[in-house]
Amino acid sequence: MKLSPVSAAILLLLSSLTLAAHADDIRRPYIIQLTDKPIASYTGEISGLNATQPAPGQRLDLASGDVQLYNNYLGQKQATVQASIANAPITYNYSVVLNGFAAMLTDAEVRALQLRSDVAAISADAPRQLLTSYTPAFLGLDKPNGLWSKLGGKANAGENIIIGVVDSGVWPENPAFADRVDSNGKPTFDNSGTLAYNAPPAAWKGTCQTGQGFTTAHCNNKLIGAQYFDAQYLSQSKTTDWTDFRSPRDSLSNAGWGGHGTHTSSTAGGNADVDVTVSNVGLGAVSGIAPRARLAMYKVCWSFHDAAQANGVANSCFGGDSVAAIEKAILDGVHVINFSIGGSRDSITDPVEVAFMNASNAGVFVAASAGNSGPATTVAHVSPWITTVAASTHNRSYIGDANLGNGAVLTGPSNNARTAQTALIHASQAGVSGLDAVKQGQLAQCQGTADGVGALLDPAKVSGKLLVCDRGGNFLINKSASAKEAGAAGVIIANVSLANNSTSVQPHAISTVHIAVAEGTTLKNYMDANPGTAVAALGNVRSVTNPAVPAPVITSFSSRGPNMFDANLLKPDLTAPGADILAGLTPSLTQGQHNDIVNGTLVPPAAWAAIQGTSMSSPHVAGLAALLRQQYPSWTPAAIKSALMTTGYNTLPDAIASGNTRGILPFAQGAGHVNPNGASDPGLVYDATQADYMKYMCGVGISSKCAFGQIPAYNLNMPSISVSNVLGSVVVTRSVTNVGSAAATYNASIAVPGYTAVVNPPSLDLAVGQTKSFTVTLTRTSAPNDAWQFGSLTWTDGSHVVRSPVLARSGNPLIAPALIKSTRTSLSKVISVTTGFTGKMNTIYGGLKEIERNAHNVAQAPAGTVETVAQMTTVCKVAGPGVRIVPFTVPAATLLAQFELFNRDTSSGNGADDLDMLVLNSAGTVVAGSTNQRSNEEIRMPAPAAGDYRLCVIGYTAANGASTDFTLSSAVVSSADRGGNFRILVPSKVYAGSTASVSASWSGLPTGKRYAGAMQLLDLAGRPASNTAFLVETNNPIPLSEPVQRTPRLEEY
Amino acid sequence: MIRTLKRQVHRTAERTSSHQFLCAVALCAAAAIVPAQAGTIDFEGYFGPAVHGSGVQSGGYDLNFLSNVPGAVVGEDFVGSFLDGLDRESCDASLSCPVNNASTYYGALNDSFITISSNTEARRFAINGFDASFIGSTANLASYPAVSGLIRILGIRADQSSVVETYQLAGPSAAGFNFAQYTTTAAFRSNAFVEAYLFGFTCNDIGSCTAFTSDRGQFGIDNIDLTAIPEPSSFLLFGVGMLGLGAVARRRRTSLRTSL
Repeated sequence: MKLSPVSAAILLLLSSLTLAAHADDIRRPYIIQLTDKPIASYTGEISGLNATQPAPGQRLDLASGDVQLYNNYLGQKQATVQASIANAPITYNYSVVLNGFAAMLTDAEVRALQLRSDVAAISADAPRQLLTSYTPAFLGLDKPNGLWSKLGGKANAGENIIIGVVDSGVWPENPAFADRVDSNGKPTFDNSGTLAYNAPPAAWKGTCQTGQGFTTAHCNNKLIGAQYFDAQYLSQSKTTDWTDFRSPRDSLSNAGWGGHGTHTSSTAGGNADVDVTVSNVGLGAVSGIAPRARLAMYKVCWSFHDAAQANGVANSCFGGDSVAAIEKAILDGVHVINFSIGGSRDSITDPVEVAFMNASNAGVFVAASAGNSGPATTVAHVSPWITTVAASTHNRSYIGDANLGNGAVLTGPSNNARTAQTALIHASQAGVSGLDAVKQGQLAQCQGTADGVGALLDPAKVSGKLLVCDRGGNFLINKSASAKEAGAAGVIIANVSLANNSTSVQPHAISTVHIAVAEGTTLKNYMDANPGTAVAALGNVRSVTNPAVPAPVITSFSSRGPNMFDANLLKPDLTAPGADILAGLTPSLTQGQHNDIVNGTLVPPAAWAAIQGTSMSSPHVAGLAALLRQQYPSWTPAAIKSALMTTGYNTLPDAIASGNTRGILPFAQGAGHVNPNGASDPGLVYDATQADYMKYMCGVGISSKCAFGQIPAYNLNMPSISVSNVLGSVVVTRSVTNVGSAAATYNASIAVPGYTAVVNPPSLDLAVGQTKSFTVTLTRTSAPNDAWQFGSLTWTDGSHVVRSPVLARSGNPLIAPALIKSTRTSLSKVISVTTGFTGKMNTIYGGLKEIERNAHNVAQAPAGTVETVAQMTTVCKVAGPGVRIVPFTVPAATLLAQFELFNRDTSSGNGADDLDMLVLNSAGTVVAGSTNQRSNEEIRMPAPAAGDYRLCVIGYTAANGASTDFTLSSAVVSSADRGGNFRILVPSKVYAGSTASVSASWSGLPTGKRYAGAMQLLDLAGRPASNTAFLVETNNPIPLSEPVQRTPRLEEY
Repeated sequence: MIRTLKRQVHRTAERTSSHQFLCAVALCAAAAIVPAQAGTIDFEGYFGPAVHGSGVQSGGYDLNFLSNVPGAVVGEDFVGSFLDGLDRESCDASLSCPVNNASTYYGALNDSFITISSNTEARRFAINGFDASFIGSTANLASYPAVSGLIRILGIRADQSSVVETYQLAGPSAAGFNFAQYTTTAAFRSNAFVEAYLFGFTCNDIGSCTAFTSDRGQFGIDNIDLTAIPEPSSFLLFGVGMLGLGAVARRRRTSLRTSL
């Protein structure tokens, strides 16, 4: 339709009206936590209401009178709070692992709740992403005297233990989930088979929820529960992609998201002896880690339309739905939860993390993925009560051959090579006509519709042939998808760069072999020598254990520490296999077949694939935890985690030769690679319970968790030790419990480079079941400033070896908090700082200065131009399309420069615009950045060097596809800035190895504004030794959703 | 104001022949004037930090807040703060402040000390008791021993002789440090003082306590119960007047050590 000028003007008027109205009236998803403890953690503090937290080894009993009474009490409290926001749609009520509810709230309602003393926290819901065999043998589970044999063999491994998987759903046709066996003992759904599982354990309370393509008949005595949670997702008004099912059924793998939950659940607890077929190629039998465990799926991840994705489909898992699923899993009676979904990197009060704490209090073990954003410091799920799992390689893989017409055989990873001899054609020769130089380059890499560049391959040239694709530019699986679309009979992916010469098994859509540079050169020489007549065949897929391949090695994608929330707590905890993991997936089907599944006329096939990710390593640990839970029913989740950590072994060096991201360091591997047979007899465990976690939370500044007092973070009884700043010396406390079968004397040995390390007492006599404490004193000797040192502590009684990593760092002679936030118009605050010298400590401070707000506009950047920091830097340097440059100058002696963007300050106002920010110095070097999903972005630069800078705001996605307005909040604070009677006071003198109290105060600030301030503390020589930023918001700030770093759209795995 | 269980306290009393601190009051920068309350100083109505040389007037008494470091800068150096026990934000999570005081109290920080004198010329007074708690300088409650600190009161009589009494500050409960009520001994209470000094010690786990060497001698104090004693002599009148005059006078620093 062509608009007349008048109607265009009216539209403009209407859209500006919408803009004006959007700021406060939009309902956004929140999770509200109330002050009372949830059922899983309530220990009887309220007179007349008995404790409801289950005793160790016991399940939560919802039918008990105490639980019902306390549940009624919580229900009344929740109703009171909800009555105060009567118009708000409530999406969930929680009482088991979280006391509170999820709701869609306006700003005014959030502010009303903030004033209530019975509301503990209001968190904006942050959507999370999925983190996209032979491993039981690699882990030694099937060895004589291995963990399986201790549990009565694989026919009994995991018996009656229930694993709950919170994920994208399940594909119930996969034999991994069958409860019958055929005459050969193979799992089958055929009713003529013998029932291999009894009824679910009596305590099981879960259900089989029906929905699209899912009936109660899809559950059985193996897959004992399947439910879905989508209330929070539905409140987002997304358009669900046709590949998904509104039911517990996993979505189809067409869009690249489906099959994840099928994979994780079959890895953790899928049946043994399941014959795997990929593209009609038999790959032998696979088994889950706890093959006799029962499985329950809790689907929370949904595929929906998203223009920002190359293929137009995204998948998210909302926190409100996840908390509801976790709550139901605890009520149902699961023993272990697997959560292969992204999580917070810098919060332990995120509702999902809190729900897991309460799950742990109820005795449920939780395994979660460390994240796939490595090797950068991006480890997620940083809470101590979760076992956070990195991903490493194993040395079993599948290979296939390409047999060239000249007799040469080229071998590379493949799990589906099966193409009869046919003509070879290189993709660069197979394009549609009229491609420009850029498209010609993309053509050689077999880019296509899945990459958002349209169909480049000409079916007339490709059909029936074996297509050769160069590596680079897109996902490996997109190459085979393009080839399939053009009708190719098979694909050979050839590496072209020695710098990027790894090869891997991937879930390719058609028969594919992936070869390295040398093999690729052989292939291309043959094709060049035989133009038009070169032929090849693909086949001979086999499993190999390659002793020449060193394993395990931490994968490059596995997210590294240190823990960004608290460097005094090591994360990840440990590593497990997460590369080339073969397990169940979902098939790729047509929309018609999808509809036939929904209307019950099609029984779809099962599918398998080898995929990689910390999503794949986490269920290995969940499965191992199920086995240990079976062996030791009374062990706490912390004891299970300790057993897995202290018996781990070191991974082998990866390709990173230096620095803190090396795979061999605890920042990558945690305590090491899991060693299940060791974990089944660990000797000692480091135990921890609810009171310990609360003391830890109080100690890191969460004042609502101080009922049990507080401890410094490094004193939480973890099976690892990390001290982020040893000023002189530090005393770390731990306790160990003898879980062996006999009394024993354990002796300690410890070494940490750059420190003297003393264990006291150095020897512990422990009766069976006895717990004793000890201290570790670390005293700095030669450790350089600000450099992490890595050592280990080992207790041994001659037969057990109980090993913990010990990390220490010594830094500046002063430690002060990095950021102090307040909402007060007047405040006088005492802050304790740690001091490493004796004499006068001085301060320079500035503020409080009102944060400026300036309106700008930025266009959406062309697709594929601002995916990575390198790309963004290139565009920002030349002020290219899709960025807005805001120059600014930092005068000498500036204390703080900060820049913020908010979802509510863009045109859509609801997060549909995704902006990012970089700061470049005058040399064009990036000095700071913020690249979160959506537009809540924050850059805080303490004590920036003087000079001219450019702030570059990047229009990654505009909701309207063209451009967005935005308001930039900024402040550059120097000591010349004074406001609100802001004053910092320091004592007359400070002392080495001690602490000092410092005062920060302000008064009389007007309401409704935001202010920035900065405090710099100086050492004896007058050098800046610490920087603290102040953010004072007198405008009743609405809580922001936790930042989730955006991942590049085009990432090559 | 708080009311806590009366605590059995261990006290040591000793005499010293000359007083060890002679501090004159510098600037009296009281933030507000509080109505006299029958000799009990409870700090209600005060807000904000206290700097070296600042003070308050309450119930007919002058309280001054002082640093023990030579060269301390009047009006600049941070020695304490009026803290609202209900306001967790006034005490950062990096400290362990008392958890059971639902009113405003004074936190003497960074090894600082408090002087008390009557603001009526030459009026003498007796010290009956007070409420106090240790203030920990780290969040680690497990690191504090059962006796985490001491408060020592040095009372100066009109003849310039002095008496000392010391009180133990208990370690934290699971929730944190707690104010307790302290009553002075009858012998100590029988003294008529023209001035008193209050300062804190920090104690380690082998029972060694130190003052003025770490910035960790920190305590909260509230409800100081004083009784005015009539009939000052004219000689003493003059002496007290000199003390109150205010030039920053000679000050001797001492590291005090006591064995428990």
